[in-house]
Amino acid sequence: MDKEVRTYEYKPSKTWWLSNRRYALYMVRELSGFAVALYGFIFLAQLVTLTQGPVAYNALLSVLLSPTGILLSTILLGFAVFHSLTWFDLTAKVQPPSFKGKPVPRKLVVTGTIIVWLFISYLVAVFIFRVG
Amino acid sequence: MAEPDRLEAVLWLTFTLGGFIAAIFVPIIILINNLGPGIGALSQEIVSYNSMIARLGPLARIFFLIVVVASIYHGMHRFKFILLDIGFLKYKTSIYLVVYAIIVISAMIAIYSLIVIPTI
Repeated sequence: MDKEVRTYEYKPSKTWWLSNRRYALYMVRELSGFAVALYGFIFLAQLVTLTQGPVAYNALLSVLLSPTGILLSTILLGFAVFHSLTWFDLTAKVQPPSFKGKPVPRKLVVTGTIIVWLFISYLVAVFIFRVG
Repeated sequence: MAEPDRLEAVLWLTFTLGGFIAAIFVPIIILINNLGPGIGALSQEIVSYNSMIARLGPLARIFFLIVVVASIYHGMHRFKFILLDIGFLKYKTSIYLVVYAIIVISAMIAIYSLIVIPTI
C-alpha cells in the first residue's frame, strides 16, 4: 500500500523576531545593513544630479539639508554607526586573529579596529572632503 | 559529493567585502556630506556644486564608486534575507531577481554618472 508522502512546510509568523530580545536585535542589525544601502541610493542620487548641473544638484541638496533631510541623515548615521560596530564585532568573532599562536582577546581586536576606523575616517575627512 | 557553488561563494565574498567598506566609510560620509552641513557644524560650502566637482578627481571618483556600489550591494543582500525572514520565502526567486537587478542597475548608473560628471 502506497503511503502518502507529506513534506513539512515551515511557516514562521511574520513577527517571530519580536518574540525574543535577541531576535529583535538580530533584525535591527539586518535593518542597519539596509539603512547603509538607503544611504548608497541617496549618494547615488547626488552623483546623478551632479551630471545634470547646478540647478538639479542644488534642488536635491536643499531637500537633504532641510529639517526632514537632517532627521533622515541622523537616523541613517545612527544605523550606519550601529552597522559598523556590529560588523567589527562580528568579524572578530568569525575570524579571531592570533598572535604567536595565542588568540587575541576579542575586546582588544574590536577596540583596535575602532581606532583604525576613526583614523581612516579622519583621513577621508581631510584628503577626500578637504575638511579643515 | 556535490560541486561547490562558486557563484554563491563569490556573492558572499562580495557581501563581506561590501560590509567592511560600508562599515569603514559610510558613517564619515554621512557626517560630512549630509549631517554636518545640515546642522551647521560644517560649512555648506563643503557640499556646494563647485566643491563637489572640484573634489571629484579620478581617485575620488573610483573611491566613491566603490563605496556606493559596496553599500548598495551589502545592504540589498541583507534586505533580501529580511524579506525571506519575515515570511516571503515563497517569493524567493522573484526577490533575488529584483534585488540583484537593483544592484546591477545602480552600479551601472554610478559608473555612468562618475564618468560624465564634468571636471574643473
